[in-house]
Amino acid sequence: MVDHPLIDGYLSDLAAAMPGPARWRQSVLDEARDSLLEAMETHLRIAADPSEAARQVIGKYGPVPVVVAAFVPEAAAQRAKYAGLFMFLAMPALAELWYVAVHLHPAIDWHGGNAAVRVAGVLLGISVAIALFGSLGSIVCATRSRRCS
Amino acid sequence: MWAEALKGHLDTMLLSVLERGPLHGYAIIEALRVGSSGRFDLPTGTVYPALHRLERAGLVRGSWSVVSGKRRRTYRLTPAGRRTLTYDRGAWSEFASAVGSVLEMGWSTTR
Repeated sequence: MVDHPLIDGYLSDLAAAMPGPARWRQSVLDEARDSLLEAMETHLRIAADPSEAARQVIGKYGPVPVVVAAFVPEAAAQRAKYAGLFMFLAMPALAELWYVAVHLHPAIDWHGGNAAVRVAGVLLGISVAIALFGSLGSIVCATRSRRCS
Repeated sequence: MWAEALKGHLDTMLLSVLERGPLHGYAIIEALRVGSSGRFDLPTGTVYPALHRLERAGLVRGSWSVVSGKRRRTYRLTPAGRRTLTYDRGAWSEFASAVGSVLEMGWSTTR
């Protein structure tokens, strides 16, 4: 395997600047590393000096800010997917908390004449519905970009 | 100039390169460069986000493997990607033919 400190330095700069969830970021960096090393091998067949080859390879890969800017929409989509999944998975926990709260305070008459409690119940239902559709929507958008563009 | 002109067509060209069979990222970029006689020599790092976008749209599928001790991601065209490529090819052909007709038309100036 052909490696070079200049390539390692470039990858470190890329890792520091790349946004997005850690797992996705790692996969982007692994792919960048593979591409740079493959290009390095090709360049070494032409240029004998490894440092010169590394400089050329890095130059062709592109400046870190340009590469990061190109990845920003993908990083945002990945974040949206993770956020959607979190919201979706958090919903049963939220429902459970309300169930526990109701049973810990049986004195509250949820079906009775207390208007404030009835309004709170309706608002809770609406917020759960919004969270449900919002989380499903963001998951769909994040996994199938063309449907939301 | 080429990079700007390429923006709307990069996705279709990537799909076209993958039509020949599965390839890893660097090989796709090299195929693009060689296929365009060096005219489309984009910064390598900016082509990967396009591949990720195509994967998210379900048009290509990426999978990891280990080749000579290195982790490598290979992309292949999906059936949806193949359909999109066929449609985009037809649309491009029609567009290029229409533009070509206008550009090559002999205009006479009238006053």
